[in-house]
Amino acid sequence: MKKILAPCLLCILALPLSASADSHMRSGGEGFASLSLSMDLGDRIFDKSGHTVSGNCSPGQSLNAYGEYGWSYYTTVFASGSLRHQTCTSGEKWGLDGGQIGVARRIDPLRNTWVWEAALLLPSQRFGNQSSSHSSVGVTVGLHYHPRANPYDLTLEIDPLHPHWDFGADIKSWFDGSPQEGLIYGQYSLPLQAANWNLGVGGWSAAARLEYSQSLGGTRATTPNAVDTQDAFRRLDASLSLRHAIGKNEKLGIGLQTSLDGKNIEDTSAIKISYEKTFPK
Amino acid sequence: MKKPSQNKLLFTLFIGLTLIQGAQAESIQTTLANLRSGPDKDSRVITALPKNAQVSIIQSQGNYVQVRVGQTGMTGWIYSPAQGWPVAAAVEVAVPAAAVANESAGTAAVPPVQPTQPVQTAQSAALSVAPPQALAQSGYDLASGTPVTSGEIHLEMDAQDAEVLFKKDPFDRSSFPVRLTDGAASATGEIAVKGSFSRRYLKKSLLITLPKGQTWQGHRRIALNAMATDPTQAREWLTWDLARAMGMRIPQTSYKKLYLNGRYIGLYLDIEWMDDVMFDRMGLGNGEFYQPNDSSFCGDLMPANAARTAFCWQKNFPKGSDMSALDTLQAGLNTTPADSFDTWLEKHFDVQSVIDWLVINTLTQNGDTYNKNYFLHYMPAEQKWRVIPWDYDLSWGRVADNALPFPMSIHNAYFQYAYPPVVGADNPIKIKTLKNPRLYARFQARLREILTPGDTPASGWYEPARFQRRLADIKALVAPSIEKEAYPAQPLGTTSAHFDALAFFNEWRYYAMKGLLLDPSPFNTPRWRPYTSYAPLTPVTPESLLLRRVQPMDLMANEVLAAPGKKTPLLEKLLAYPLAFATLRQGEPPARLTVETDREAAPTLLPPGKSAAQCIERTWFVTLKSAQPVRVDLQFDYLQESSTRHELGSAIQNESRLALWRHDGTSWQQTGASVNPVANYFSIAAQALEPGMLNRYVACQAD
Repeated sequence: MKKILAPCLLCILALPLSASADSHMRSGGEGFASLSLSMDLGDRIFDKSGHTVSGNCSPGQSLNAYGEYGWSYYTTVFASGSLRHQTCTSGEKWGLDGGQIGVARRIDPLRNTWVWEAALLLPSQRFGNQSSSHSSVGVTVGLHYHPRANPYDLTLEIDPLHPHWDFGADIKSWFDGSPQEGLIYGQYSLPLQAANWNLGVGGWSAAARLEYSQSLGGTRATTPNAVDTQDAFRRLDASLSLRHAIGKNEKLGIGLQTSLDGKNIEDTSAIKISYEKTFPK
Repeated sequence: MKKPSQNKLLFTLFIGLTLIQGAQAESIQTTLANLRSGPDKDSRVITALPKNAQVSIIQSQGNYVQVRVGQTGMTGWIYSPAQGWPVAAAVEVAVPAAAVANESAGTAAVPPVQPTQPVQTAQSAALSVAPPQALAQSGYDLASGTPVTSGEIHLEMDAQDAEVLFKKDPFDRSSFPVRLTDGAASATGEIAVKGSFSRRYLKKSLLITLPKGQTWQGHRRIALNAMATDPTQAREWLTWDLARAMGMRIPQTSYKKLYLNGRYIGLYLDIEWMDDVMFDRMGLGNGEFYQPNDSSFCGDLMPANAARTAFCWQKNFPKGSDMSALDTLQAGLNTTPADSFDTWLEKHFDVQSVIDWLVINTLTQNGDTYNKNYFLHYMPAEQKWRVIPWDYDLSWGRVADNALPFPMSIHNAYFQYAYPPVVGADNPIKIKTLKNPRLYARFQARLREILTPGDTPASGWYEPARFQRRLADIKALVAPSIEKEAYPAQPLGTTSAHFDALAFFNEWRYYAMKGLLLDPSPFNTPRWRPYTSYAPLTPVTPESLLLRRVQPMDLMANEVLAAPGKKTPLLEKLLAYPLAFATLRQGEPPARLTVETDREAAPTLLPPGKSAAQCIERTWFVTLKSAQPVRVDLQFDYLQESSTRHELGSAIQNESRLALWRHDGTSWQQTGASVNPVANYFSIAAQALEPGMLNRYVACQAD
């Protein structure tokens, strides 16, 4: 498996970008990959008062790749990257738009509950400091929590439609002096239909996620007239996604993301379709 | 010359070489065996040694012994598996001359033979099973079977890995470095949890994989079954022991006490990994090896799944997606009429492997197969298939309850024993074999062999007295181990109650199978055959699975207690359905006894202060039909086979507190009966019975 996945990871690393790991630890030797197409639904900016104003670009599109591999029971490595296209007043751009390569480790060695992760943030080659992009290398560290029932209580049924929560917090820092950024999220996942492959039925699941990010210093210049570069930015995003298993190890997904509130930062909304595949050990 | 050790000689026995009593230690006789040019499976087969060829041992190397053939002086190597393997299945079969030529030319070796069975065709006559005398000489007790012994395996791991291995999330498939040793040899490799449903148990089944090119006792993979779902840890061992006695081609098994970093983990079943090494040991060549996908439940070869081969099956080797041989098999199975199925089966199968598979599943009441949990091995050169059975944890009375969510569906104490001979999913191999008169006769004859005493290792294996002696040996090994296990399962009753249930299962099934299949009675007809696949009462839907299934029925049995102290079964004759056991303790034989039951219905007459909800939904009526009063021991059973089919009143909280009341026509009296809440029976000693008096028994929760 390592032989197969190593080239895949290299391919993913060649497509830098912004996507975050969920820190779901993989079995040693297990792989996971996803490819998604994201299309912006608008180009707005939260100004320094929190009002939205028009940006100076057309809605962009991104092709995102993400991969995880269980290096061992204790360590999962992950990487992501994206290819982005956007037209702004300064002209049309497309190219690699950052990414990350990181490692996640179990804190509780027995359960996939508490996990820390650290990643190297790769710079955007084509989009500089525009929008959410960064022209500098950075690092991120995070703490993630996935509460689950005791799997060894044999009086507890495994309900295939049992919902669950995931929580996490990350801090990002860039080497060019850009302000640090903090992020917290909570996600509620709800299986809607269990897969029954004997009947040819794939499962359905839905997830809702709230994510709040804020700079821990000033902000970055995006549209100088609209934002206060001396003030911190913040943003609250919400997303909904629906996934359908098309095979024992394959899923298709569709998602909607939108910013609910913010200041000194882009007001983003996008639709995303994705394909996910797990490579069992 | 290196003198072989006594242990090595014992190994040799295990591969089917037979010591000549009174001769020098190095002088032995062979059963059929491949004589190879070197001490590995890739070495050329020089020739096939005939049965009883006299050879002397020169030396041993790894899992092979070098021998000199007495008559010709030819030397070569014979495969010798690990020490401690049981005997009966450990036979390397000779490859016929034609196949040797093929193998030398680089093609697969072809086995010419099938196991020796009492019902033989011309084709199955030349078999490779160790003869009874060889088995006896090698430690196989014809009266009690393979000795119940256990070896030890010691594992060494990083301390954290050792804890994580057992306590991590059940379906994580990570592996960890490990070093294993049995005191004599050691190896390093990776260890991982194996299995599917059983992963929810803390005591994990384990698979140790060594690096390519390395072996431990001849194998690169060492599989250790935890037997965690079986509270007796006896079911798998018993089944494989029966298979060995029948001469089936099966993986070798033995009990092993597992220690991890010096800490006792528990008793495991060391089961031979089914790979090229095993097939080489069997002399079968590699061929093609298929297994139903465990989670798909559709490896039943039925027409409905004919177009889903890739989904329902996996090809274990050779690796690749070509399953055309299996497709061809399915087409043949489903287009051949039952009447001519014997001819078709002889052409395409090792027939005895099919008969024996059905017989074993019948005797163990294993329904957790036919669409999963078995293997098919295809030998392309012969264009023949062979069935290899697998997985007997849900057998011998244990069942999955599909109305309960996992893992309670598996982790339950329900008990079934009174079902028609062959249960489980439909499968054309099963259905057509039993419908075909000639194949059914072979099935019947094989069962007769195992149920009655005789001169083959399998003869009388299932007789209750012999079975209970073996069970006592297993219990002596298992019970102390369970108390010391590092990762015990949440209990489902006492170990003793579960062992009693196993004995109870064997006893009733023995009489039921004799009644349904063998005894010359007007009821011994194929009447049960429509029920080979037990039909649910209603079409299976999520809702129907939750419905209480009730089949009220009045049953009656008459028996004569012919001798004091003889335990006599009272079966309802038409269905061979068990009602009670009776043993005459006092009084003159013969004593005629009638037992009637109102089943799956609340008692109409209750002990004072008891409500129907506190009582078992069954009434036993006992009448002594002979003239003199007697005292008898009685054993009554009740039904609790699943969450939807049972006789427990709704207010019964604890079956261990059930008591049995007797109404002798005038008043109720509480008896001193004991209850086994696993096997679901009451035992009462020395009940006084008066001639002609109707005694009514009802079981209710004690105060």
